[in-house]
Amino acid sequence: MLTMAYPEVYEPGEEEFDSDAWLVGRALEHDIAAFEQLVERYQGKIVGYAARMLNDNEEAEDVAQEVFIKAYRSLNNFRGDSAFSTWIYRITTNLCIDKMRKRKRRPQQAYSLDEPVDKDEDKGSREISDESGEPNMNIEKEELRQQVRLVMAEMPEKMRTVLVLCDMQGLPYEHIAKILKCPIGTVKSRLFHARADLGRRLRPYMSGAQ
Amino acid sequence: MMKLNESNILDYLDDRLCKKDCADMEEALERSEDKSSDVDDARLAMQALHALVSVEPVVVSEDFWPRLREKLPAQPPRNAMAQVGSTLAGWLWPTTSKWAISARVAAVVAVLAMASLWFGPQRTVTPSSAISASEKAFISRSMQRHVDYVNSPPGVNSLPLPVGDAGSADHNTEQLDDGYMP
Repeated sequence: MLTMAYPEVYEPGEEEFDSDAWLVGRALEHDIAAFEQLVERYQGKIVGYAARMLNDNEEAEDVAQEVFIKAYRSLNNFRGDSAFSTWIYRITTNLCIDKMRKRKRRPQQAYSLDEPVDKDEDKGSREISDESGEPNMNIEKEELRQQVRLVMAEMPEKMRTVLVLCDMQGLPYEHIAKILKCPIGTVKSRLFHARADLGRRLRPYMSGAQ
Repeated sequence: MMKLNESNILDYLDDRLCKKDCADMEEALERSEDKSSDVDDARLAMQALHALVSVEPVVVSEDFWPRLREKLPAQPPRNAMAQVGSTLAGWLWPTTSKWAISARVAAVVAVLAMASLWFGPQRTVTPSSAISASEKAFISRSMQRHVDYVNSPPGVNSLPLPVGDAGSADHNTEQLDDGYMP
């Protein structure tokens, strides 16, 4: 029979199609739809990660765009030694840390509430919303959330990163260790201290907010 | 007895411990006020972070991909081998440029010259002239014995002659080693 003359050809099962590695391979063959699929798969996670790291949703989208552009340009360097998600998270981590360091170097700007928003046309002034009609519980919860953001912004980068990756992105320790290229013990140690430090500083705000 | 280290405490906070280890951990925490306080603070932090995530979910704008698409280069850069391949493919494509034709002719001549040097007539090895592993071992031992003989001081007893020959099936290399006299 003719089929016996040829060796068995390996045909990947359905679950291998659409895998990250398969999509990367397709993207390298100029299949932009494959890269679009990768973007759609990870854009939520990457934007969320950047937003938690930078405390700014708008800047998070810009950073996420930079991440995917960088990934697209470096696709040929992605050897598949690690998972695509590990690689893309690693790019995001590095970009976020760069942004945070640039922010620290920039001088803080202060605005007067009475200063007109548009100096040329002298239109209006800056206002803050009056929440006196809101229930006290909501205000206390909002204060708690603000305090969480403030404490995390002041945290060292390494501790903040593990806190966001573990407690906000929900990644397991092993995956975090691969992203940060450090041992699992180091991840756990940083996480332990980050949680303890955050909790200690939030304690005065928790009793009223719960 | 459960050790109160950071790793075990994290496993306890993440509900990864079995019932027995959990009970041991709680017993150990009761005896250590510092660690117990750290555990309470960590739990507080975890609750606050989970609440923040649930109350403030991150939403990606609908034009995220269209905006990104505009910024992407025309095609992803390929690795060196693929770039060489695409360059060669460009050379093979018909052209009317004198310089391109001259360069292609020169490249073909150079490749042919290198091929003739590399793949020139070679001495073929027939199966009958190939030697077996045992023959190789016999030859190398004989050479070593000759070297030792040449380097030995004068007056030393002459070395015994090797027993058997390379083609003999009875050739025993172990006996040779035993019979060797320095």
